[in-house]
Amino acid sequence: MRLLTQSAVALAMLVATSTDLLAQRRITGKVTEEGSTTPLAAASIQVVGTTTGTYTDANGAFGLQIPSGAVSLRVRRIGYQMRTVLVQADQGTVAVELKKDVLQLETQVVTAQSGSIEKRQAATTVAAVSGEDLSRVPAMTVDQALQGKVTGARINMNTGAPGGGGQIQIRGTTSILGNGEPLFVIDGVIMSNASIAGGSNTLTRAGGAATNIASVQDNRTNRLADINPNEIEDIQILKDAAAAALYGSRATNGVVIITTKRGRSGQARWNLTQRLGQSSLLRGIGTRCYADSSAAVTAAASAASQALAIEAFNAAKAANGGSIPCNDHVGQLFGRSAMAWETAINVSGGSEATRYFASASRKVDGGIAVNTGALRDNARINLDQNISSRLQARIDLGYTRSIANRGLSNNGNDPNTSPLYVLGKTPSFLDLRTRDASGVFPVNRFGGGGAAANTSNPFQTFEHVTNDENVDRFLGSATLGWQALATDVNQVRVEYQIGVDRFTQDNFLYSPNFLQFEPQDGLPGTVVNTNAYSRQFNQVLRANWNFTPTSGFASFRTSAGITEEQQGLNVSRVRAQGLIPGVVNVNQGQQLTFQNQELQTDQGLFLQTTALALDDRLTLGAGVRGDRSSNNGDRSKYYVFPSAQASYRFGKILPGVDEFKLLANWGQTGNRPLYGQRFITFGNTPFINGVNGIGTNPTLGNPEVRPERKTDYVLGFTMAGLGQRLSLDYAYVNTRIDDVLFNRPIPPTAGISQQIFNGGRLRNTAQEISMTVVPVQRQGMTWVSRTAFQQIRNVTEQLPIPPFNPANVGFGAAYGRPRITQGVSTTAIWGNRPIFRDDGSVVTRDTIIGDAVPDHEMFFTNTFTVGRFTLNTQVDWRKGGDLTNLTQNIWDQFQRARDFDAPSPCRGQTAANLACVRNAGGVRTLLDTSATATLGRYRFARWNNGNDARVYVQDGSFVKLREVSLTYSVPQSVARRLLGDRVGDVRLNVVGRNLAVFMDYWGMDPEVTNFGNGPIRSAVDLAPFPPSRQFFFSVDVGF
Amino acid sequence: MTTNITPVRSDRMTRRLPALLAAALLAAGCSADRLNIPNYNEASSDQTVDRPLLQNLASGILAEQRGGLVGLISNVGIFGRESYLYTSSEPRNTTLFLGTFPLDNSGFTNGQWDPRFRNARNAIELIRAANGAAFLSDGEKNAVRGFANTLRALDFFYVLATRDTIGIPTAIDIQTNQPQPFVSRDSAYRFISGILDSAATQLSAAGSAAFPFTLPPGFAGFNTPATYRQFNRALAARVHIYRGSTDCGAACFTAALTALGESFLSAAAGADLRRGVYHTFSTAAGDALNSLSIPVTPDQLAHPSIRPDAQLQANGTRDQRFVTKIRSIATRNAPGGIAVGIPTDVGFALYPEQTTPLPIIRNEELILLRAEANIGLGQFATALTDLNYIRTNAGLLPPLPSLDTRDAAIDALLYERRYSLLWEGHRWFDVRRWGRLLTLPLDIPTHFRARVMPVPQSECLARTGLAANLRAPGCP
Repeated sequence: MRLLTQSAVALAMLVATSTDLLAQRRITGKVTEEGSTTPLAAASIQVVGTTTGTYTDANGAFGLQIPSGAVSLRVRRIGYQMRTVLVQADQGTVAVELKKDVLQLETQVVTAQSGSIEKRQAATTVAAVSGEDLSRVPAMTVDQALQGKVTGARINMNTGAPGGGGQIQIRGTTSILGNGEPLFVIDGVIMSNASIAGGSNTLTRAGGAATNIASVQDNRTNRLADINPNEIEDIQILKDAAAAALYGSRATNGVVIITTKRGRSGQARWNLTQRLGQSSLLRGIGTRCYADSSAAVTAAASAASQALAIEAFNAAKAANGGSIPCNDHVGQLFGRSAMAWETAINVSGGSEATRYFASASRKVDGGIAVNTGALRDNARINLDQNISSRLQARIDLGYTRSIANRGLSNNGNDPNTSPLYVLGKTPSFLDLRTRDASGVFPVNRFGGGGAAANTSNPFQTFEHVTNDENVDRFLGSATLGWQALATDVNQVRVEYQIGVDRFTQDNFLYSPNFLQFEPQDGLPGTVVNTNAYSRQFNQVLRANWNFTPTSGFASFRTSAGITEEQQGLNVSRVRAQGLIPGVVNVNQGQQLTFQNQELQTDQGLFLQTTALALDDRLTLGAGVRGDRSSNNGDRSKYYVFPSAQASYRFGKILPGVDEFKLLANWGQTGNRPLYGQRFITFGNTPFINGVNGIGTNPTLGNPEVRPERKTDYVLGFTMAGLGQRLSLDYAYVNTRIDDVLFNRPIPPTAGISQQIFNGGRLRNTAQEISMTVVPVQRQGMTWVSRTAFQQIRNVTEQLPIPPFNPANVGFGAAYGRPRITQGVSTTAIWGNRPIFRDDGSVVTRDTIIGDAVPDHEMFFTNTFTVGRFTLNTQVDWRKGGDLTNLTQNIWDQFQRARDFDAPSPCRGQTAANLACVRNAGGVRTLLDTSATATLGRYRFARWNNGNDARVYVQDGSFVKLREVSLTYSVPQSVARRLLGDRVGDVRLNVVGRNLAVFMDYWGMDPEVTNFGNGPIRSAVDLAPFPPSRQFFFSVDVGF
Repeated sequence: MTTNITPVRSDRMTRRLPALLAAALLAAGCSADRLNIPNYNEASSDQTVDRPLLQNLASGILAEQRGGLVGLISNVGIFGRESYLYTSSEPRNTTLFLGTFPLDNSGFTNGQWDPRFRNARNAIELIRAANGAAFLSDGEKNAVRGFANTLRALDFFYVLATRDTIGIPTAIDIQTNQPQPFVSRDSAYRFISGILDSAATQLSAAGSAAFPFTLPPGFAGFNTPATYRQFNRALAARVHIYRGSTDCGAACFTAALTALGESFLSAAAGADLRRGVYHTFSTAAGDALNSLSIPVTPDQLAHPSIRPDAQLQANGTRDQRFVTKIRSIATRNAPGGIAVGIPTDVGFALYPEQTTPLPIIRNEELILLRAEANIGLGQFATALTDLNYIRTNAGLLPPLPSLDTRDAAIDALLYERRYSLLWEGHRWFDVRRWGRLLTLPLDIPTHFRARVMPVPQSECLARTGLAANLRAPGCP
């Protein structure tokens, strides 16, 4: 009680403190873009040497009380080079022109839990992406918007389904069994990026057994999908351990810091964006058309009995007037041109004491198949309130509703409901689309392996199956900041912040009784309800102290704090089968339930200091964080993660070089164990006679488990030259991960199979280069070209256990999958291949046949501005990166691949060509070399029941035209004549995403994967949801 | 935004504010107690033993065994040319089981290993729990020991039957989890008989005490220590017979007859051949369905040789056991696309419902075990009575006039066992035990007849680099 009273008194005194009354005067001014006279809104004006400042309004104008006498104004705006202008004692107005900062040298980058530094001074390689770059071309999700914009990151969309589902992996594989996702922080809230299965495996049977009601093959959405790119001011990605170290034992995979837009004082400024567009199939899979009856019947009989094949073929041929029909089922099913639109409005304004930013938006993406699509509503309000001159409060609140109807996709088993899975087995002569007079779809009996049983007709499935995901999410934070001290020499700011991220995800999957495949299990009708509750909470108390001694020799920025973070997730799921027709309530059927609950809490302490010296040319920094977690075996022990960094900027050391910076840093971060790994428990067995059974858990927990520890060092340089027309960044990264979590195998005869433990070492290296050139920069015309290059290598340097196959990345040696082996790339793909020995014999061996990590990736962004037109293009090139093409394997097996009848490369070959020889029980056996040998048969025969996995482990190189946008900025005079005097800025845009892909890869998209997110990023293309291309026309109006 | 922050001196109060805030946060938030979070999803293994826990452990053992038996019947059915599993998405059920020599030990033809040893460990855990339970009487403790040891022996039996001459480790070190040496087939059978015998002793010592947990309905009639002991003796007879037909001979056949005498064997007129101990299934939430049943796995099909090999009744129809257990289906081929299809037009009618119970051991087998013991001892006439009892009652076939030679007697026995115990997990073991593996038909010439299931790769790898006596035999 006494403490409270004292605090109240202290608070009252603070509020009572008033600003002093120095002699002041008022000036007005205008800020414009150099060369174009375009007014610049939201530029910040600050009186040098004080904390007095303001922002420009929509017309670039500002007004400011300044001390009498001559003062210097520092004028800066994101995307422009900072300028300092002198205002004479008698000057009342001032005009400032800012030059575009095309090289982004002055972007503020994050250095610690709070505090930032100009990119040109930074000693770490932070990637920054502005909100403008993110939302120029609308993306389904933030991860999609980030593709190709972050050097050092592999960002892939796992699926083409509406609603998203992607993964960001920074600088290679850092964990095998632990968490592989970066930490996402939005406005200080540590947010969940969980991927929660919806239970579609119940229908696809991807996990095999009918008892599985969820699996990693459920085409999951990662919940970053709930964030609206339009609300984002910028995203910074802390890649170096030295930069991420202050996030401690959750930062091994990097930290993605998202900052949303904030209000600026002044008249309310509105921005309205309306987009209207269309999605369509980017690339299908095609089909084989049968040349003659014999080919058609043979193909059909590979997925059914001969009798059924003949019967179905004759019927189809007769119905088509005697010629063999050819249906591109995938093109038909995913051939919809779906409307997409987005409406977004935001407003910013306020008084000097109260500032607000509010926004609301709705985005609708129609799916390219019937009954698929996604909708996202976002609303946000960010408030800043000056309680007194020294006490500020901030309250941010964001709301999201995400709805996605994602159909079915990915792996399957009987009864074959995943569309590309069953269509591979269905002959193209069948018309699956045309309903009979009573509206019933044709019955598909192919794919059941010769049983006359029905499989599925995907047209019927998509028409009637419901697979909805519905998310409601609140993200909010409250911050109280207190400027304890503000002198020219010392500035101390203390901040307390709490953040909450709360969402529910409900999945509703319903497959009505009358669907063709439903009676197959004897329980017609399926419904699965999934309810996930996620709650994350974090609080931090921190103090920042800026110390600038009057000697001017150096300045210091120090921050220290304590944090606590808590994450809870509770997923429950109930399935009912054997429904009463028309009833979707689970009470009515045979039920199976599932629940998983997790809760984890971390506490940390941090301290970091950065010094700028030698005329701000030298940056030195060091920091340390101590962390403890409920997931560690010893929960009271603090694990310590130190970091150090340095950079030095040289002046014009060579002709043409304006500035040259060398940087080096070293740091450690952690990856704490997963929930549950420290417990020794009984495992669950099925119920028997109404009683639940327990028994030995095959995986033994470990009460000594501790965080994985990453140590990396980064060496790099940044060069700017040719009068701000060229910049070049280079970084070399060497990362080592120790104490990697592995399962130690225990001979199963002991009754248990494995135990989790820390050991071994991974080693990753990366090279990142980015170059920006301004080939043209003159009145009314600029061309800015940015090229980025990244190369990542990850190796399992020490493995204290025998080689093993990690779970959920592949399907065995027959198809190729990662196999963790000492001294070998962590992402190497191992699989069977024949080894031809000199003595003429042949053996099949499980060995390295590829690597999931690309040789390198390059991103090309070009911006051309001519007068009021701006054209922006982004092209991504990936060289290498292998994946398993199981889709093709199925389409070959059942003789449906579009190129099945193309000539086999083995025509006319002899046994000397080893590509035409397979291992038949230890005997070299020649494949079909006749003049009629076909490509599809060649592939499947060479694969040889999995004895040569190389056939379907394929190169995923591509060139993608990811983004194109053409913007016309309407002259203000025209806009005002048309829309009224308040209108500021009006832009018209034509934009497109995923417009074209150039590749030799046979499938639809080498980036998709059947297994979704996981620490080892290795792709399996298995009946995915096809990717789509999007076009939009949009109007942005500011008033 | 205009911020006018003028330099001010900090007074004592304001200087203390951050310290106060920090103290409050530390006190309220950062106590290490907040890091003490339990496991919400699984039971801790060091909790206090009570009756519900004993029930859970006992149910767990039975549930694991039920799953194991389903897998066993599916696998050895394929090896023994009784069944196929034609799941279209998994051609390896045919290509690897029948066509790829040696059998793949990396995860597809290596069942009956991890869960069986795990379950044997569960039995030890249950006994340990009961031993320390003060609330149990000595009789109840003995009942638990007898229950658990019988099932532990059965788990070892199935591992050994599938590995045969490879042998198995029989000890389980639950303290340090260290690997134990493999022992020979005969030592292992002796070990299993030993556990069964001690279990029988413990069940007798239980006296009138009841099991301190409820057994599922498939144990009806065998759910007291005294009646459960009959089940124990039936299993003991089976183990003696297996040993007799391989390494041991007459002594074991004699022991089998003794054990059968204490079992529930009944060859009286009108005796229920189906009487025995079963695994039961349920559609209740969390329970398992019989995945051998037609509705759950319609791809489980019968081998076509079952039809022509069935003998004819006097009226010309086939063996009644064929009639009731086999159904005709539209011809289906093995999945595998371009690969050669292996057609079959028969399926099983044995498990028509998704909850049809699965026999562990039943009277029909016991009568045939007695016949087998007598054949082993050269007492063909005695054996003939039992064989004809089965032939006439189960198959509705004419009785055999006589058994003239040992070979003829074994052939006759194997025929009756084939149709009486069709797809209950016996055929492959039977032909191997009596050296008649080569009588199994090959569907296509490149197929082969598996003799044993391999030691799984995981076991091989986990023992790599150990002393010679600890390495697993037969690892590549």
